[in-house]
Amino acid sequence: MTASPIVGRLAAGAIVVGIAACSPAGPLPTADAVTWTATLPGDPRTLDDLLAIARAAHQPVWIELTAAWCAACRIVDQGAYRDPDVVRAARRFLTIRIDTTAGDPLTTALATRLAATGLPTLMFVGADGTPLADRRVVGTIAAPELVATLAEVR
Amino acid sequence: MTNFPLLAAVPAMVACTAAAAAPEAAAPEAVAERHYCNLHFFTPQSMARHLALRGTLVAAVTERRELATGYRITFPGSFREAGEFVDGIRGCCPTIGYALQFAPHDGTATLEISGGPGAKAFIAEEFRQLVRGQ
Repeated sequence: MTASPIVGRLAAGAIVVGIAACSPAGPLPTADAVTWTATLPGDPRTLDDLLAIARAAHQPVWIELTAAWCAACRIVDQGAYRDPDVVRAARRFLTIRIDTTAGDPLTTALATRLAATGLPTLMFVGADGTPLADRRVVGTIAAPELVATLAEVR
Repeated sequence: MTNFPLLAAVPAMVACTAAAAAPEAAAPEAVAERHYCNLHFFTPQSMARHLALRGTLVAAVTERRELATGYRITFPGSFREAGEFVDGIRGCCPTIGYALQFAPHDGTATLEISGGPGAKAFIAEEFRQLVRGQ
C-alpha cells in the first residue's frame, strides 16, 4: 500500500515522457502560451462553422469557456497554458475560446448549449467530430494532467 | 449543433467531483483539488452589489494574516453586510471554506478563507485585494 503513491507518480511520469516522445516531430513552438484559433464572440465564424472546419480537416477541437473575472481561469492562463508541453500538445487542435465576460446573449446561449456551469470549462471533440464528454475538465488543472488529457483526444 | 446534446448530457459537476483527490493520492503528497468559478451565480445586478460590498470591506480591513491553508482578515464588527458578502463569495467560489466570526460586545469581526490543497493560490488570486491588500 505504501508504495502505491510512488508507483503512481512513476507511472504518471512515464506517461508524460511517453507522450513527449510520441509528439509529432517539428520545430519547437514559437508561442509562449496556448494560442486560440478563434475567440467567440469576436470571430466572424460561429461555433458550428468552426466545428465543421475541424471535422472536414479531421482535426480535434479544444473548446474553452473562460471569463476575465474568473480567478481560476487566470490561474490556468498563467500556469498550464504557458507550459511548453501544453503549448506543443495544443498545436494539433483547432482551439476555440468562448469568453463569457460580458454575459452577452451569444455567449450565454453557448454556455447553456454546452452545459457549462463552472469556469474554466475545457471540452473536446475528436477528429471524427465526436464530442468527448468524459474528457471535460471544470476548474484549475496542472500542466502534466492537461498534457495527458490532450494526448487522449484523437 | 447535432453533436452537442451528448456533451450537454454530462453534468459539469461530475467532472469536478471526479477531479477531487483520491484518498491514496492524498498521502503523503496531497493532490490539488480543481477550483472553479460558478458561471451562473451572479446576475449583472447582484454582481454590481457584490463588487460594491467588496470595495467597502477591502477599505474596512484592519489586519491581514496569512494562514497555512488560506488567509484571515479582521475588520470592524459594525460591517453589517458581512453575511451578505460571504453569501456571495460562497456561491461564486464554492470549492473553498469560509468562517465568519464576530467577537462579543460589538467587537471586531474576522473572516477566514481557506481550503484544501491548491486552495491558497486560488484564494490569493480571487481575493487579492481582500487578503493581500493588492
